[in-house]
Amino acid sequence: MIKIKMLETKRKQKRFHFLNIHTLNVFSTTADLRRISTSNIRIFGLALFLLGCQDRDVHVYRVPKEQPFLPLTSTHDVLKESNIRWVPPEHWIEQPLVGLRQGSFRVQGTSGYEGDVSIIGLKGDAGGVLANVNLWRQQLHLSPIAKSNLPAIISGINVGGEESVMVDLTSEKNIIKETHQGRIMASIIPQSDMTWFIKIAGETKLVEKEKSTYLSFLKTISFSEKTEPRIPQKEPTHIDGIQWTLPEMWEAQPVSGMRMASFTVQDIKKEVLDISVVSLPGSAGSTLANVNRWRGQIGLGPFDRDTLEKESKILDLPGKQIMMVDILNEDRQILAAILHHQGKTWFFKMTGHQTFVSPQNSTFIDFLKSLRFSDVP
Amino acid sequence: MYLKKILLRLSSLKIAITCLALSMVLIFWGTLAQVNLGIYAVQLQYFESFFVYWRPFGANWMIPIFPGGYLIGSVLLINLVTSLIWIVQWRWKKTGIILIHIGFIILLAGEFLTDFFAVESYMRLDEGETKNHSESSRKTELVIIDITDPAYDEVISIPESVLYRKQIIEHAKLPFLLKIKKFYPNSRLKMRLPAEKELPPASTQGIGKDLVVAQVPMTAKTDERNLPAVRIEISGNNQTQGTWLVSNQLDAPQRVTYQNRSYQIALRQVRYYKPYRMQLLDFTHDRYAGTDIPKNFSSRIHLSHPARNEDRDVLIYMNHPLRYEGETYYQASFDNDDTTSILQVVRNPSWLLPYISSGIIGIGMLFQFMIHLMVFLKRRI
Repeated sequence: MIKIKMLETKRKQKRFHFLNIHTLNVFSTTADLRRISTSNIRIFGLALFLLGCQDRDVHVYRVPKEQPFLPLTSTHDVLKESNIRWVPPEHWIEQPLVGLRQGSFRVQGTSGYEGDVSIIGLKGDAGGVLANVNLWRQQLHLSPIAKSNLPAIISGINVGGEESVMVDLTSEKNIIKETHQGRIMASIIPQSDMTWFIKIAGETKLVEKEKSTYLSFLKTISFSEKTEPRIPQKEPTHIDGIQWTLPEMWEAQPVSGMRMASFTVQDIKKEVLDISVVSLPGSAGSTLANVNRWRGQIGLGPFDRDTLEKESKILDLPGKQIMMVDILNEDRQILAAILHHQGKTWFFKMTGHQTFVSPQNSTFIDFLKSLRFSDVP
Repeated sequence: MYLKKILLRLSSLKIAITCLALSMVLIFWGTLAQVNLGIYAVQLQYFESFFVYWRPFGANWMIPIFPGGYLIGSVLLINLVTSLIWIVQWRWKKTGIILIHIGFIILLAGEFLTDFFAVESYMRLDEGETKNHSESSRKTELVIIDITDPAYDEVISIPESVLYRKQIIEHAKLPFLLKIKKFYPNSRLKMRLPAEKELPPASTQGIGKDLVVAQVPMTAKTDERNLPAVRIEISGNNQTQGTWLVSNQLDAPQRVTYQNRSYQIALRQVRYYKPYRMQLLDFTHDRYAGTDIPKNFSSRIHLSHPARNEDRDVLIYMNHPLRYEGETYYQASFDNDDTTSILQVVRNPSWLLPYISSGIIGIGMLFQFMIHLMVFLKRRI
């Protein structure tokens, strides 16, 4: 399978060069480069401007052998992130992962030929069975087949509890060093959101010898429930000049969107209550507009200014005042507070089921009371 | 005498004023043209050319319609030099004027030198990766690499400009004849699917057998890049070995064996090798708390220069480039979820000239002011 490089967009490259200033000639007898000749500035003068462009010509230089850079990835790293598991046979030699491979092994044959085992997982159906079978046929210099002929060359197999497709192809011509035929055995394992390809390729006799090992290897494959990697979060207690004390039960969560901090509380029924801290520049709309937006979120109509004054309460903090509202509609409840600090408006909001938010009311107030400001001594 | 007459004419103040006025128009026009053409094309067509050309609609020829940056700059430079020689009086009282003229001459000459000698390239490093070269972002080269020797690789580099103008390439170090069958200045490659048998393969050998190549119009936009491809034929002893397609869109070089020697062929970005190595130890991308707004990018690099017995770590970050061996490494960009750092590498031997010229102009202006002040004060007394 070829990869065509995704070429990053680049910024402007400086100019074309009139002069050959850099006739590079590098030689290395050790692992390091030594420049034999460097700058060769030919002519400079006004007349040169009129001569026009002269590009550098063919040049030759020596460099130390380039070591291919393998990203710091190993099968172990990949397994940590995907849900596929396998137990490789002892004589298969693990290889560094390159390209799309999530597993890679080399199989040493007795005749000096090597077999290659690859495990690749691709999103979706990755082109479908026919396209992939024809791709492998092409690798074996075989002509492509039509969809109607596909059932004749594939068989069913169960891999890791998934109904999979197995295909066994042998080249007609001697394609390995023009002396031996090539063979590919591959299984295509569809999962809900991706397809796995497990393939052994090599010289015919070697693949035949490894066939039983390959089939045993397929039996070791299992798919575990995918678990999202949990990102360890530092407990934010100080953001943008505001400090607070985090209540014991509150758990810090990854921040996203406009949130400066995010917390959750989980009750014994595993119901989750969400607490957000958002900061916006200026007044971020009026207090009334924001309260009415929250009321709308739980299906309530807007307040007018007088009602807001009656329904809200002011908490006195050292050097600051914070306005707090308690909005309830049937079983949905929002506890929110608005604070103006250093030209920004801060919103602290707790949202969840009423039976759970109500007991957290005092905790939320304690949290607000714990706020300390850098501009207040 | 005749030449002196011309030069005297060129030293007139009217020409200097005309050049300055034209350069203002050119800068304004060039700035507007960037909207459609992008900065790179505007730089070439407006500022690094003798004339700005206009192509009549549908025509394949162009006519010059305005002086370009090189013409205006050259005339202004001659004007300044000749006026300094013949017009400006070399007297103590004119020291300020003389210094200002010298400063402007250095400034203009410095800009020309930068154009000719400055080389800008990029070094792209994944975390843990070591490199001893940077790469041009726009220019490509066809390389034939003899990999037979286990100790080193011998690289035969053929620049893109040679591929443009030559059909057959012969070189003492090349064991075979290289024919440029087709050069695509900008192309797109795609897989030749089994169902697309009627489409001709891009080449008879190598990866090109499974590819189809299509030519697309060249681009000069800042955020786009031409992706060239070349179909080459290798032949020796009047016998062809077949054709290969090479392109900078392909991931790896292709292998060719000829007369028991192994070669790799590839079309890649032009490389600038260094006598030292750089390894990216760590790239960090700090953001302002709770937002995706970048606060700082930094690359921790391990620098090894065996010839100078240097082995040390350096930190390159925003506004704090590394100046080393005549090159400046700037933190330019990043990629791959903050695991790849892209450094801009600038070699500009004349980077000091603008500073020197500004200093001279400043001193000249100060002199001029002081001379006038002294005359004024003398009159008062």
